[in-house]
Parts: sequence; C-alpha cells; structure tokens
Amino acid sequence: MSVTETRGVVTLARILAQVATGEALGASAIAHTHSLSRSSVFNIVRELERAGFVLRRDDGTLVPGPAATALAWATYGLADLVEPAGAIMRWLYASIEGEVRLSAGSTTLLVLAGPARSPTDGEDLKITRRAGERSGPAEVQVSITLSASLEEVARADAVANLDRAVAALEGHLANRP
Amino acid sequence: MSDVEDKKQRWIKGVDGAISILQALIAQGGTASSSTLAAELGLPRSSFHRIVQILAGAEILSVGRGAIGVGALAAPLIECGIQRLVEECQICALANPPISAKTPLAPATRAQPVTFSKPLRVGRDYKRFRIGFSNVSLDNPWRVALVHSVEHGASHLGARIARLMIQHADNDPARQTEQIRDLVNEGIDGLIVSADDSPLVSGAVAEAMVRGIEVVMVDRPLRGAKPTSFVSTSDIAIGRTTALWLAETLNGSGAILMLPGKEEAEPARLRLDAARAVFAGFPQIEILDVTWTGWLRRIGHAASARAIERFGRRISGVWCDSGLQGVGSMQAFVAAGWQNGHIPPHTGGDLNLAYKLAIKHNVRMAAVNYPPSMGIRAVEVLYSALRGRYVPDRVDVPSEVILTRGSATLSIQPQLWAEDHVRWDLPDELVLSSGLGSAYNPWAFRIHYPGNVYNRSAAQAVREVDA
Repeated sequence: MSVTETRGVVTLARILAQVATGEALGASAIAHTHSLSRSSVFNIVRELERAGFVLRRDDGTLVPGPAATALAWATYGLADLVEPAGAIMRWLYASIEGEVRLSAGSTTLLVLAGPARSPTDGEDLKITRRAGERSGPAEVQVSITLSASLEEVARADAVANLDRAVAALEGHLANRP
Repeated sequence: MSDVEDKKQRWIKGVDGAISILQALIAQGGTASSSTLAAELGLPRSSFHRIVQILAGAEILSVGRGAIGVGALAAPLIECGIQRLVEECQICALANPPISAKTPLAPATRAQPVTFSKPLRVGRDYKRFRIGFSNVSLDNPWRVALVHSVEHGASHLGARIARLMIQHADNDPARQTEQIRDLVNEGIDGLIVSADDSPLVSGAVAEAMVRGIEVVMVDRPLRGAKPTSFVSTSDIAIGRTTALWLAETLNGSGAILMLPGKEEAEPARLRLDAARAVFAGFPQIEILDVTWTGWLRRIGHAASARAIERFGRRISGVWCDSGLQGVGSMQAFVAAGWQNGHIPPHTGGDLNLAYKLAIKHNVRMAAVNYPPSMGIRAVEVLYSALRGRYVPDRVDVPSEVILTRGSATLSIQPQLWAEDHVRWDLPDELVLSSGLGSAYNPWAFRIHYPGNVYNRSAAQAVREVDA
C-alpha cells in the first residue's frame, strides 16, 4: 500500500474519531484542528457521507451517521436494528409519559427522557421487558420509567404500549437474515 | 495518467478500502475473521492488514487472533446515536400534545400490533424536500384548520424543505387524481393526501409510490392504497366515547337522533358504527332517525328541524360525530322554541361555536375533538420518511374528552371542561385542538413557508351564514 493510500486511511480514521467525540466541528475545523489537508478532509468527508458514516448538519458541523451507529451496534449483533429500533423508540416515547430506554446487556443503546418531574411525584416506576430470545452477545431489553403519580389508566396504557413496542422489536429481530 | 490523477486514484483506493471493511464488518454482524473479510473484499492482503492496523490504531476496530471486531469507538458512537435520536425528536415535536391529554386506549387497540414502514429510499438526510398536499376539499372550517396545520408543520421545518405545494379538489376524485399526477410531475419527493375513498385516487397514490414518492394519508384512509403512513385519531374512540356518554346521560332509555358526517368518508362511517355498537347495548334507547350531514351546519340544522316537526318532545338526545353539524342541530332546537336547559343533550365538539352554544343554552354536551393538529403530525411523519427513517404505518394523534360542567357520567369523565376549553374571544368558526397555539385565529392566519411568497395561507376561512 502506497504512502498516499495510507495517508487517506489515516485521515479517514481521524475524521471518524473526531466526529465520535460529539464535539460539533465542520470539515474545515477538523482539518485545522488535526493539521490535515483541507481538500483531503473535504473529499473523505464526502465519501463518508455517501456511505452514511457521517452526516452534515444544517450548520455544516459533522456528526456520526446511521452507518456509524450501525457499526457501534454491531458490537451487540444489532447493526440492522438501528433504524427500526429508532422508529419504535420514537413511537413509544410519543405514546407514554416517561422515559424510554433500549439496552443491550448493561449498555444503553437509546434513551429518550420524559418531561421534567415535580419533586413531589414520588418514586419512579420502572418496567422492563426482554425483547426476544438472546441471540447476540447481549440480551436486548426495553424499559419505561413512569412517574409514580401517573394515573392508573395512563399507566396501564403505557405498559400496553411498551408491550406493543417490544412485539414490534421482536418482529424485526425474528425477521433478520 | 498524470501524477495528480494517479495520486488521487491511489488515495481513493485506500479510503474506499477502509469504508468497504467497515461496511463488511457491519454486514458480518460485528465480528469476522481477517482472512474471510480480506477474501470477500478482494483487497491485497498487505493493503487489507495495513488499513485494519490504521483503523485499529484509532480504536475504530479491534484486532485479535485472526478476528476483527468493532473497537472502543463503539461507546462514543452509541452516545452520538442517542443524541441524534433526541435531535430528531426535537425537530418533529410540534404535534406532540401532553400525554395526559390522551383518551384511554380502546381494548382492541391495546392488543393491536404496531408496525412500521421501511423508507422507499435511503440516505437523504440533509436534502431539502419538495412536498405536495392534495386536499379533498375546503367545505367546512375543520378542513381549513387542517390546511393551516399542514402549513404550520411545513413552516416549522423551514429551510429543511424546499417547497410546499397545496391543491384542493372540491370533493371531485377525478380532479384530485389529476392534481396528484401534476404534483408528481412537478418533482415532489413526498406527498400528503386527504381524500374521499375512491379507486381513482388510490390508483394515483399507488403510481406515486411506484415512483419512489413517500405518501402520508391524513384524516381519511384509502382502502385501495398502502401508503407510507396514515395519520389520524381513533374514530372508533370518538364514536364509542360520545355514544356511551349519551346513553349514560339518558340513563339508558330514550329516543335519539343520529347525525353522522359524510358517508363517503371512512372516519364518519367508523364513528357511526362504533356509536351504533354502543347503543345496541342499551335496548331502551330507540334510534329515531339517522341522517348523513356531510359535516355541514345547514344540513345538521335541516335534519334536526325535520325531526323536531316529526317527533317533537320525544327526542331525548342527539348524537353528532362532530360539532360541525352539531351546531346546526342545536340552533334548530333554539329556533323551534326549546328553552335553555331543555334542549336534548348533544355530542360533537371541534367547533368553537359548538361549545359556545352548549354553554349559552345550557345543553349538556360531550365531545372528543378530531384534532386538525394531525396535519402537523403528517408533515413530521413525511419528513422522517423522506430522511430515510422507518415510520409507523399508523399514527393516532391523541385527543381529549371534553364535557360541559356537571355532565360527567359513570364511565365518561372529562379531561377538560367545555367551559375551560371554549374561546369566547375568538371566532365561532375556530376549530379547537389545531395545534396552532392559543392565539390561532382562522381569519387572521398568515404563514410563511418555502413556496409561499406572500405569507397567505392556501386556505382562507369562509364565514358560514347562519342556517
């Protein structure tokens, strides 16, 4: 492998590592920060965007894209679940009053927090469901955390929606290639 | 080949190789043997190992005993994925009402699976989309509010969309079909449709989807089409809740009129069926007459006026699936000389005037608004689908049970009192639960969104003449 080829891969690795920090930088800021060639960074970012590893926000800053998340989720054998799981968790979050969380083993893959609670709300109520049989390196779980002050009917609805979300997730887990 | 071109080719080869390795690792489920991966990708062994070495140095990959896995960078990438999801929820959060405002789930809904549509296209995250809205008609205030709601949703997305184009079909399926085809030929990426059930319109929707256009139906489904998503509110809950309230208010005995909306519209049929199913459980409730009103005030007025002439004081309740025609009915009772407090209980909200009349004439009333905010939600769902996200096949926008004070029954408790919900300061034609904020006034509605140069809405409210 030539020096030029190697340089391209090194630049790519630095860009990916940089966007993974969560610090919102644009392509030229990354080039400046890491003393990289501006044109190389722009060209590689274009390739990474095309492959879905990087996304460009409206303000030009770069964030990891769906393919980067899929790579991370691949650690748990769940790469193909990124998009459906995101949709399911968004739906569940819109359907209940509380926090929703998707975990693989002890790692939180997705979490959406509920509205601010009153200090007089009392203890939270956490309900967890396992999604499917364990097929990968870690058990997949979905949990919701509800305010203790939530009315009984709303709580029952939240649990019903949790079960519907888990069933949808299991459908995707079962239909994987 | 010049030196510069040669250098670029080599450079691309290295970057492409790295991307291919990452993609192959994802496809392999996160771990793979080095030799399998190298053979699969057809990369020279030395190049493959050099690339892997560099990626492992940046902790993107981990390498051990002939196998390659995902490196320690997975943890921060997962965190970033969470942040991305939070941001997406914030972009599309206009139509999310407080959950406490929700009507309880129907038993059948609790068991219903929730399914999702896979996007027709992928990877268009930051494209500016062209969106079309094909609207069946503007023949009542609710439909005006729906258009305002769609426009508000587009306005909220701002520069994320390139253009919103709106067409109204005046209840003509052939015209709506033509308009959908025109919008498709204009180059739209996504389409919102609210239509009467018609094979013609279903055909146009199917054609659009074949061309890769995401289609979100709002308010009314099409039986002959399978769109990306359907955004509505539970019509069964509206029919069941209001009918149960009326039956309990009458202590299970009495003679009622039923004034459903428009026969061609599935929401009206679903509400009527659900209400009939409830009344069937009360053998002492007699249905005197059922008249389709097209959700028009004048037809609601005429139907009740006729029934008053025919049945007089035998009428003990009026079930309407909306206040759009309900106001006409209440006005018919007032015109026939029924005193305040003696007009039979009515159902059906939506319209500000319905609440005003119920309170003014002391009519007991129950309503589950059919929220026009489903227009905002439809825009959000379409936008998510266009960005390549999975979206639910069906989205139900929550709505509240609203009763006039003192009208709660054993099974139906209010989430809001009509007296707190009514807007005395705003026009009669205001449709509540629009999601457009407490200052929304259909007469004064101005809106800016891409494609709307003069900030005029595509739907101007029309003052309805008293029937």
